[in-house]
Formats: sequence, structure tokens, C-alpha cells
Amino acid sequence: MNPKTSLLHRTVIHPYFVMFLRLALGGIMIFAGAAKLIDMPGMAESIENYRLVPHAWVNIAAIILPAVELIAGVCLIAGIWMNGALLIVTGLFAAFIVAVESAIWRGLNIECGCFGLPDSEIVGVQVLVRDVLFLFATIPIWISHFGLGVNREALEESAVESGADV
Amino acid sequence: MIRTIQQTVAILALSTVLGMAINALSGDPLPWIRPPDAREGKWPDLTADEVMQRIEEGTAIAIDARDAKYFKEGHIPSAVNLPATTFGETFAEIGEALPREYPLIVYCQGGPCSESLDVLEHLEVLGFESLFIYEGGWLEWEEKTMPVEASEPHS
Repeated sequence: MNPKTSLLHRTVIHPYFVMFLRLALGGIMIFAGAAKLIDMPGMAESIENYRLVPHAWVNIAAIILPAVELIAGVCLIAGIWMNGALLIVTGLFAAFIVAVESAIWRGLNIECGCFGLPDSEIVGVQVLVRDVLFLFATIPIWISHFGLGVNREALEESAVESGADV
Repeated sequence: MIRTIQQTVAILALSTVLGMAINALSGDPLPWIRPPDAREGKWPDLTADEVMQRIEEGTAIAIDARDAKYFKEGHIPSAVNLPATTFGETFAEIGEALPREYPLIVYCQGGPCSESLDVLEHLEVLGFESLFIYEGGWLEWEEKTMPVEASEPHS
């Protein structure tokens, strides 16, 4: 391996690790989106509970948001429209963090509605920490995909060595 | 940058079409505009000053519909904690003593929160005749720096 290939390239943005993150985050988005699409009334209730979206708009969000999760997840895994998918997935996790943090701050005792599961856990610090971890998990994908602040040549070399796509 | 925007718009457009299609094909599609909760506006809404005045005069009891944990941290003076989530058991313990004709003012965290509405529904079924809601709830009460009491939960 060329000495130019830094520790960063061999670890957090190693193509295999980035591929693992894409599969994991994409899989989570697909699972959550599909479960919410199956139970749109439940999704609407969950959104309503957060009291962040005006009452009249709750159903619109419940109809569109799960489909956004599903399609962004598919794009992330398949590598199609990666720029848009990555932006949307990151934006969704950021939005979830704001919603959960806001619910905790307001003392709302509500189910988080995470992953579209019935009887999901109550909004709390553990949900917040999980969403923050998911958000952090997008960083290596951003760096790998856009070459943010790293030596692009070394990144491509690392990919060639591992036989993976950057 | 332009490519990113184009792809984002494309994913959002596709998602809208997919969401609409799945909603339309479901057995009971959601209306695009959510109709108002039929329970909202059913009980007279009081202001913070009105709540305080009635409590000071002793002409009403405040009912805190939040969970005991939040009640313990702070509540409207002399309020009784009847959490919406454990209403049945808590009412059996302390609610039975409440006179059916006495005015009750129910509140929860803030806004027309569902806990207040749930408790009001239960109380109505149980025969309470004079029910009010304080929609401003705990958030508004604190914002207005109204008197606060902190104690152990009643349960």
C-alpha cells in the first residue's frame, strides 16, 4: 500500500466499511419506510404526537415521509442518485434528532414511532443517542462519495487495492 | 451542486407519487388534509389566569394528566395527578373521592395535548358534570411564571 494512503483511508473511509454503512443505513431506511407505509394511520398518530407539524398537514407528512425513507434507502444501497439520497438520508436523521430533542425538552411522554413499529419505545435519551450515531454514520459515506477534505488519489488507490467501488 | 438538487427533487417527486399510490390503494386511505380531532373544542378552554383564580377561590380542582414523573417535578398548585396512561388504576385509588358535580380543570404538557382529552373523555364517562380544559398546559403555565408546586406524586 502506498504511504500516501493514510490511516483514514484504511479505516473509516475504507471502501468495504463505507459499503457496510451504506447497506446498514439503507437497510434501516427501507425497513422503516416500508413499515410506515403499511401503517399510515399509525404513522400519522406518531407525527401528531410530536406536535411539530400543523394538525392539518399531519396526513400529508404521513403519506410522503415513509416513501421518501424507502426510496432514499434503495438509492443509497444501489448507488443510484447518490448525491440526492445521501443529502435526504442525512437530512432525515438530522430532523429526527431535532424532533426527539424537542420532545425530550418539552417533557412529552410519547412513543418515538421509530422504524414504524407498534408499541415502539418512549422518546428519551437512548433514542436521541441512536439517531446521533446514525447521523455520524453518514460522515464516512459523505467523505468517500464527495472526497471531502481527503486525498482523492489515495482514496481511489485504496479502492483499487480492495477491489471495491468508491 | 445542481446535480444534487436535481436528484433530491427527483427522489422527493418519486416518493410523493409512491406515497399517494400506496395510500390510494390501501383499504382506508388517509385524507390529505387531516380533519380536526372531534374532541377538540368539546370542553370550555380556560386561560392561565382563570385557572389560577378558580383554584384560589377553591371553586375548581386542577387535574394533571401527565405522567407522575413530570407531576412530581412541578405542577399547578393543589393539582391532583390522574395520568392518562394509568388512568384506571390511579382513579380507583384517588379519583373516587372527587365529587361528581365539582368543576375539574384538566391540563397536560401544552397545546391541545391528547392526554388531557383522554382524561376528559374518561371523566365524562364516569359522570363528572363540570369539565374544563386548560389547553395552554404546563408549558404556558411555566412561561407565564405562574405559581408552581412540586411534590411527591399522589399515586
